[in-house]
Amino acid sequence: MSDLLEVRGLTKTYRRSRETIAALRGVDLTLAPGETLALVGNSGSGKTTLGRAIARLIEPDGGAIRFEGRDLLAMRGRELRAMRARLQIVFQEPLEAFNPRATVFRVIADPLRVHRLAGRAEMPEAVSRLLVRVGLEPALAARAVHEISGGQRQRVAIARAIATRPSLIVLDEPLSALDVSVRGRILALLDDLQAETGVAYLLITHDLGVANAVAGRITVIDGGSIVEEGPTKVVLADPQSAAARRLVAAVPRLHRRTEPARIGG
Amino acid sequence: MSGPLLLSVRGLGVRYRAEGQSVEALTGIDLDLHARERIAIIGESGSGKSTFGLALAGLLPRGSEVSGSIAWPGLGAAPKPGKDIGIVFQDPGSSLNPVLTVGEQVAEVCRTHLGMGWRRSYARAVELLDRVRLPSPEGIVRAYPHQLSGGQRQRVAIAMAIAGRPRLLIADEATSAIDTVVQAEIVGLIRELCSADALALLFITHDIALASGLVDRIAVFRAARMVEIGPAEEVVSAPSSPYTAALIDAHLGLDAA
Repeated sequence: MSDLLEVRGLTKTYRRSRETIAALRGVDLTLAPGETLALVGNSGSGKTTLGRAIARLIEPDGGAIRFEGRDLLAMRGRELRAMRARLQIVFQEPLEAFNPRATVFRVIADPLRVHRLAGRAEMPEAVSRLLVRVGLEPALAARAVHEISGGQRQRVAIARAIATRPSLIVLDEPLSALDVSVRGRILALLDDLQAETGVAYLLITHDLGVANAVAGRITVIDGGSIVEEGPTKVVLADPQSAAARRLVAAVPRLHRRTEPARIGG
Repeated sequence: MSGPLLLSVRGLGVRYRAEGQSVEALTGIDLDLHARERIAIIGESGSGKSTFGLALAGLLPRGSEVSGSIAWPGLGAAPKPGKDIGIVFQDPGSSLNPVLTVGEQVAEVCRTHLGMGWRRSYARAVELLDRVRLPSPEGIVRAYPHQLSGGQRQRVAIAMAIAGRPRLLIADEATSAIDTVVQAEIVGLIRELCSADALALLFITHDIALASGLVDRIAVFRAARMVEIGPAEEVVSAPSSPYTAALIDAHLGLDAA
């Protein structure tokens, strides 16, 4: 199958007074339609810069990105706006960017209006359908964003992202701000939506436990370079790079009562 | 492991007043903590876990209604917050003063609580920054908080928390805002400092797996109540409360998914 997303030799340098910081040093990455790839790295590894470059929120200095077979970085104007419907991004606290008094209705209706997916008359129906699809009551539409729980907010953000029927959603630490017992339900929702629509996910996280729960494949970024890539099971069982070994070792383990049989000696 | 009784909490209740309403944040909490003992308070948002830490540290917001008792048999007197109890919060970015150097802030604790002069306090600050494993402490002592990474700022906050030679260290979601690799380092540092200084630890977290590798006992809070308490391995291996079992199930580890 041809790739949905293909990143080649992507570079990005930030300049801060006299320093220059290479955030991306020639990154390659591919994603197939309907796949979930986890992009895993520490703070400062470049993972957020890469996610934002793919979502065209920042301009890289060099390299190429192809999305749905077209040159993403060359897109301008109407073509770029149309692409934004197909490639969405969900942040850790995605609704922080909104006026807290904005209603849930407005948050979900905005992209439908901008991309002309629903007219004024069909809007209430379209918003209700999206709310139901992410497991929320249609009545929530009237509430302000700041009045609802963190888990509900993340569902609203997902509803907003799927409203435009994207083929790829970049999920930037989508679980970090959520309570433990809510995380599993959001993961299940993401799973259901993928099964239903065939959307691909690029999941950005520092936590291999989260990556393990969702992704078939893991790519590890460190110091702006991809240092390891492979099927999730393989990377977790036998990490090759120092960065991947550190990430594996850092995942908290449940210290249960030691069983009588011990492995090794 | 643990020593004589340090702290005894009986029937602790806390209510906050907000917009004319009184909200129950904690109710009926009983807990004994011994010297050198490490205990985790596990809970989600609204469980009351942070309120519990603030109540012990004497940092509850004005106007909170407190019932029950908190006694400190191990201290013989009411504790001085910042001296007898060190506390580390989730976001050192907001607990550190942005216009003072790291050294000045750590030294200030030594001056206030240990009665040292300024020069000795400053020298002590350098030692403390070294103890929390900050690289080149002689240089970092002159740095401002914004020049440090999140993990480094958290180390500074830990240096300040232990500067007054406390008996109890309270860490309230101290590693929640940093990535897993730095989290593991900070947890290792807390473990090491508690052993070396014979500190008791109250480790407040949403992450039961993280706590299970660090503490002697685990207490689980939910909706203002303690729903379970026991030795860490017991609670994790055979939880008595269905809520604890659900938290354990929700852990995203490296087992085959």
